[in-house]
Amino acid sequence: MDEELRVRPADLDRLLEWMRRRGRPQATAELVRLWLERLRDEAGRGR
Amino acid sequence: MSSGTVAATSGPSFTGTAGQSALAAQAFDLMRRQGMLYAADAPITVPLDRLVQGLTRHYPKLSAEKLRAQVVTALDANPAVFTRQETGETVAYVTTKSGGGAANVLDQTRYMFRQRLNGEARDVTEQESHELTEGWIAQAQARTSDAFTIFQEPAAEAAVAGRWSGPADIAAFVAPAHPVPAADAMVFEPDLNVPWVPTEPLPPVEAVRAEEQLPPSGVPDAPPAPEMVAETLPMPTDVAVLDEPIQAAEPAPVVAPVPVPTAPVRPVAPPAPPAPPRPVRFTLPTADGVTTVDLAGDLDAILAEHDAGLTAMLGKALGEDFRFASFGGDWYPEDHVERFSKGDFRRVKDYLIETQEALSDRAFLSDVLNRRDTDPDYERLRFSLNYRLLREKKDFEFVGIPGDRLWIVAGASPVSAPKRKPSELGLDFRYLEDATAQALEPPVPAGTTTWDHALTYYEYESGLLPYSPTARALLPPPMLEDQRAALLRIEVPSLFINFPVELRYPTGNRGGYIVGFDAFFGEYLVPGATFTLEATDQANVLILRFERTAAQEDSLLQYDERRSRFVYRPTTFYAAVSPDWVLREERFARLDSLKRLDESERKKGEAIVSKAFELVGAEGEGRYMASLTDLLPVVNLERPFSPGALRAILETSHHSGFESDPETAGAYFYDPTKK
Repeated sequence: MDEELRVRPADLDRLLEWMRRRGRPQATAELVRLWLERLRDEAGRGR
Repeated sequence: MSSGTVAATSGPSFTGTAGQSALAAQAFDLMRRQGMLYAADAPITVPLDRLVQGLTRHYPKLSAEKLRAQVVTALDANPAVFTRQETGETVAYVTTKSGGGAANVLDQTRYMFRQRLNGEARDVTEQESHELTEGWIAQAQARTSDAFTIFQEPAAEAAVAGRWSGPADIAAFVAPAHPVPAADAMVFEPDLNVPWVPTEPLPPVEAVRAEEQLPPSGVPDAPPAPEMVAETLPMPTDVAVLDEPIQAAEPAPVVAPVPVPTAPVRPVAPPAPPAPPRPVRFTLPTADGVTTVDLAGDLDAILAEHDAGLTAMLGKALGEDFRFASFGGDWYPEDHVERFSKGDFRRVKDYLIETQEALSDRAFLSDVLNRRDTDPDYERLRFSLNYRLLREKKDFEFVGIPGDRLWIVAGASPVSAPKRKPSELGLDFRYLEDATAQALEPPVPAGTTTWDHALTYYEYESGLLPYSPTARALLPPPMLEDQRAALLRIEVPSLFINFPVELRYPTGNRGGYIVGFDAFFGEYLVPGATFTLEATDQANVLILRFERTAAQEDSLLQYDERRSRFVYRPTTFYAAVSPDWVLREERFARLDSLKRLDESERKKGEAIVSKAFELVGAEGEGRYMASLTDLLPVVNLERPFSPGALRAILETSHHSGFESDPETAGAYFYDPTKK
């Protein structure tokens, strides 16, 4: 059974930290891409 | 006097007599302190007089002349450490912190920051810099390890690795004489689009020679790098995340002046080829049901398919988290948003009042806050300014679009106010928000960039246009959730004029409209005139084109304020008109001396349509018959009606007096007895 895609608190923490490091505002589309990339990486690492 | 060798603590050895060696060691110590912050092999030059002066306290019983002679003798006895330099009458000695004379001094320019990183460095453009930074950050994020490896000089790496025993090791870790090319120094290519390819983790590596980490494409004749350097190279344990092996084909030309004995190393097998991508599946609820998203696939394709849903999901989560500040689809940590003083806001407001026009955030930053767009902090400040201005609702109002963030003083639009109140106008245009009426409108083709329009009397009189479905296709949507209006500019090439208009967005059941055309309509057009609005590259600029004609004379309907009646007057005009919409006396003779409906009647759509039937309809058998084409310009005297809005009343209204003619398309009956 596949997990439902949702935004977890940890995802927001990471996005927040990433934005702090970037030092400039980010559009939602950029954050969506980054969020999905992280999810993908995490899922891959978990195996 | 016996000769001997004295080695300074963690320093070079000195020759000569015991006294000379001791004196040389003290001189070396003095010179090394002089160049405390120098590089290991940077020349430290100290005049002989200063050396003598510094050594006097160790030999208080000797006169300066004698000490000078002994110092010269001692230093000259150690030519490997000290190099004598004579410039005119000044004698000086040169050494290095690592204990070498001038002969051991290498090219000093390599200590420049630029040389230490990349000797072939060149200036990068702003775009390249941006892409490079993006790449680094993306790679740092992509790496599975929490550790963030920074390329270090060997000496620094040795210190970090705990292999640092003292200053004597400096020479062993000096940077290579030949700079490492930038491409080799960077471990990962800054490519955001590299798909993730899951694979098994690499076996642990303890001590690996540099050449063993390289792919087979490495230069075979290259000398093996010392094991010490190999240990400290960043270990690309995440190398499998890339499609291709890391391009470290050319071994780093590391040259260690002092060879370090190498420990036996265990060879490791070359990395396994990347495994095929395995699915990373999630379910995603959509309007059409639950769908499955495989993140191992092409991310661009996923985003293209589910962009709206994913953006809404993440946007909602970000909006509910107080740590994120938002302005128009951009996000930033709230605690990093710049704060501005009351004085800053006052100066911004004064600037707006002074110029009497809408100004952009960029204008405020450059003209009021003295920030240039080359400032590295510029985008953060720009976001912060917009974010803060939005909270000063009493003083400022946002009337911009994503590409042009314009602000005005609250309640002081540069566009002239229409005669009617905004709330009344919104109610007049409520049919634009009525689903029944909109369902009867002709469809707007996708990708519409032009809007052909015939001016109604209502629009002419109020100086506005409806925010119709076609207008929506042309004009930018509100950037902010509660944005009331956006300021647009209309350019009329045939007249070489442009003027501002204000797009008032719909609110609730009140329709939107574009106001500010009153002067233009009054001067150049008449009711029934046709024109075209064209979208441009700038979303808030429209081009208005209309056909200018030779002088035309006709008796057209006008409202006489003094008599409070509609009257026909001979009018000369110079614009093309639509015969369906122009209110000529010969076509609508019964409109002459017509009074306006009172406000209570005007609010009832059916009452306006009934009146229109009586004015333009053909009477017979106790009822009136009129076509949609005849009714439309007349009902638009009192209130705006689109064809769909009029049809909604005629066809779907509960008013039983209206009936469509089954024999003639577009014709309707009105029976006053069925009111």
